[in-house]
Amino acid sequence: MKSKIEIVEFEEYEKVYFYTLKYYGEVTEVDKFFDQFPDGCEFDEEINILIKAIEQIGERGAFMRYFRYEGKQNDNVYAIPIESISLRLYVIRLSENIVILGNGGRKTTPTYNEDPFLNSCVKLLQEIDGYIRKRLNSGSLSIINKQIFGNTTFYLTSNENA
Amino acid sequence: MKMLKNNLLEERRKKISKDIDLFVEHSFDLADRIHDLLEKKGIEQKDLAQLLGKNESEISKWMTGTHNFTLKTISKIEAALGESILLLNKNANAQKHAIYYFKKLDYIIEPKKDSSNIPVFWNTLIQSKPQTSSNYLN
Repeated sequence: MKSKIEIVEFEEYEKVYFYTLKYYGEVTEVDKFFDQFPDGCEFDEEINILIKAIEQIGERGAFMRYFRYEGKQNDNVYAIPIESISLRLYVIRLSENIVILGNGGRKTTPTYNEDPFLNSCVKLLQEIDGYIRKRLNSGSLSIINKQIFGNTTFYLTSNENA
Repeated sequence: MKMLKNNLLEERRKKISKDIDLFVEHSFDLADRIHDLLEKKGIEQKDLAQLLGKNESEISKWMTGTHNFTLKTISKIEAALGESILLLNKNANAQKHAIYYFKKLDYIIEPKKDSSNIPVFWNTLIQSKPQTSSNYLN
């Protein structure tokens, strides 16, 4: 069965446009992330730091140094990390001006691959990143300044993350 | 034009304390300052790691903008790079004292009992009392 997922706008800042992903009929991937850590939860301080970090990245630019390498060498999948509790918010960093926020969580295993949930978060972003690059090459998707234009809907054959 | 913001995140942002706000801002400032110094000196993160006897992954963690730097770590980086990272405005503070006491000089009859925080030079002037009444700083 194919799952429909699209890139949707999330927040805009001076230097960065943040997008996220949304399966048809579901909340966005980044909403799913924050739903794991509701207001007043055990990791409130760390989540607040992460929220402020998104703001800072937005105002300064999505420089590589602010992200942690995840995924594979040839993709654009990274994480915004909060090291004190090994928290990872996985993202596709398309440029210094465009970031697509995904899902994530606390990494309790040495690598994300060993955690089925985190692995599914990263795999989804890797798949979408692959599609984005193909569409950018074909011209059905384009980047102008800090925004994405064109066909932003994808049909995935597997939906491990749903 | 108003930029797009997420309502749920905005609600949470309203509850974030000022200290967290400042912590993240300072941490990003420090990461950017270290990055700029490395660029200025043509040094890569791996070179800094070597200078400090750390793994490169440790340096990467410092640069993410959410690292809780200790004063010791900052001092070690400063020593390794030979540059200041924390620019504490000591001079401005001394100048503030100086101007304050200079302005007061004409009006002081007795030296302040507690003048331990006044720079020595100015303290001496105050205690010797001015002979003129020119009010040149007003």
